[in-house]
Amino acid sequence: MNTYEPGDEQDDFGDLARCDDTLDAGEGAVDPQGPLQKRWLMEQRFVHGLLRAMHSSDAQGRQVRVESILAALPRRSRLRLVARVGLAAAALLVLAGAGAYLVEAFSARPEPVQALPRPEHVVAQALASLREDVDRQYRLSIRSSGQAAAEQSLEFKVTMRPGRRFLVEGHLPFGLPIRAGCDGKVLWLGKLRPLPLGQASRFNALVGDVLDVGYLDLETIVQGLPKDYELRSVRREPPAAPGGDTLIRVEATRLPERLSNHVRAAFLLVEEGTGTVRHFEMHTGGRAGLVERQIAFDYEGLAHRKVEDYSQAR
Amino acid sequence: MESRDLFEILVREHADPVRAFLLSSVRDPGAADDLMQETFLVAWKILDRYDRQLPFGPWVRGIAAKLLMNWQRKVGRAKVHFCDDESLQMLDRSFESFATLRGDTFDERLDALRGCMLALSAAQRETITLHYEHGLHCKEIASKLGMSIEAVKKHLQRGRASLMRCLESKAESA
Repeated sequence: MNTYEPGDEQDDFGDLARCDDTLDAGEGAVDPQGPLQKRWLMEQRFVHGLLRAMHSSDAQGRQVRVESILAALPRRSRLRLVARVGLAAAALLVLAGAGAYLVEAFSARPEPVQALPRPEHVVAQALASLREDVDRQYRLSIRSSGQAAAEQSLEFKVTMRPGRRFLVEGHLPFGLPIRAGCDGKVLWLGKLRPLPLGQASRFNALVGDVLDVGYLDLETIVQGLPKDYELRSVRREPPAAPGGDTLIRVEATRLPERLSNHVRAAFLLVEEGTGTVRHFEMHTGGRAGLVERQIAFDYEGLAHRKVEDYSQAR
Repeated sequence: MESRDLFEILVREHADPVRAFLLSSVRDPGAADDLMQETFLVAWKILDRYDRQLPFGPWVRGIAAKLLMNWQRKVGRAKVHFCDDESLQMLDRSFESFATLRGDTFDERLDALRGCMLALSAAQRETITLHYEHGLHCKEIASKLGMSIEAVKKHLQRGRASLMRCLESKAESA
């Protein structure tokens, strides 16, 4: 990899080197003329900047610099940022709240459709499938609309296994990567210190309820359906893939006395033969001035890679 | 998660690359730190103008570049290296390419540079180390190593050029 040695004429930068203003306080340096000289100089300066950064940046210094920036930030209206940046977090928050408020009854229960399995049976079959000791992968989509925020769509990859183990990966606005999970014992977010499940409230306080083990865990949500919602089997739908099993659509509607709950409606599509939950969808908000959100899990199959323990360490 | 918390994450993620961007063009490290702080203060104030579909890094470096140009007009070339819009765009592209290297943090991506250092000649590595790690000027390095000042400069320039090629290669394969 060694390329240059002093005296090699072919590697002598000649006039280019005269542009270099990084050495000896730039004495005698001339301004670059033309794109070639500028490119050479900027390559030198790029590496110059990296080398300076590399040799002047320790963890303590970095922390001091960041803290000084944050301390200098003036307070600004949260609404502007919430509308732009925090929407994803808010949407996830609603998702988090959703599981807690799944309710018991249908507002108007129609007669069961003949020849369709009872919804409780479908949900029990789905639950049994979700409790198989395999890693399943879902695409989590959150679409927001309404008066309080611009329309926005976010997607995350969720890998899950029974026992409150899940892994969420994706990006928030600004391209901000987010990686969080639960190994059945502790909750973790990025490289922050993990918290025991029993301290989920502290975890929520830390990340603003963006992630809550009870609501990103499909098993927990489905488990709560018969208890907290009234369910009805609506119809059969075509298989999700050619040759697959038909799907049973089960719907849930919020009881009038549970208007304080965020989720006003939900439904799931379950494969008749396997019980696999192909799709689970919740609808929240929608009242005047509130952001309306559609939160959906779409099954993508068994995880290609084995997730060993869902712990924070990579 | 509050907006300020999200912005804090962005600051933590982008402070180091922005600082390196400024260190490429500002002679005094203290001034680079001041400009970095100003960059993020401006970013915070005009965050509404940011297109959230685009990556944050180039946007915040664009703010840094504008502040740098303003500062250059104010203090002159004695404190700022040569800068114009075209050259700063070239510099920005290099930092964008650097961001594609393997690693979650800027410091982890600097591992690529550390690896490239090992591939330099002994003379290049030694002059670069003495200059950047120990803060010696060319004259002091020349005296210490028993070579001419011009030779020291050539080692530094050729070493940096080699590091650039090495980083480009790593970015292409990333």
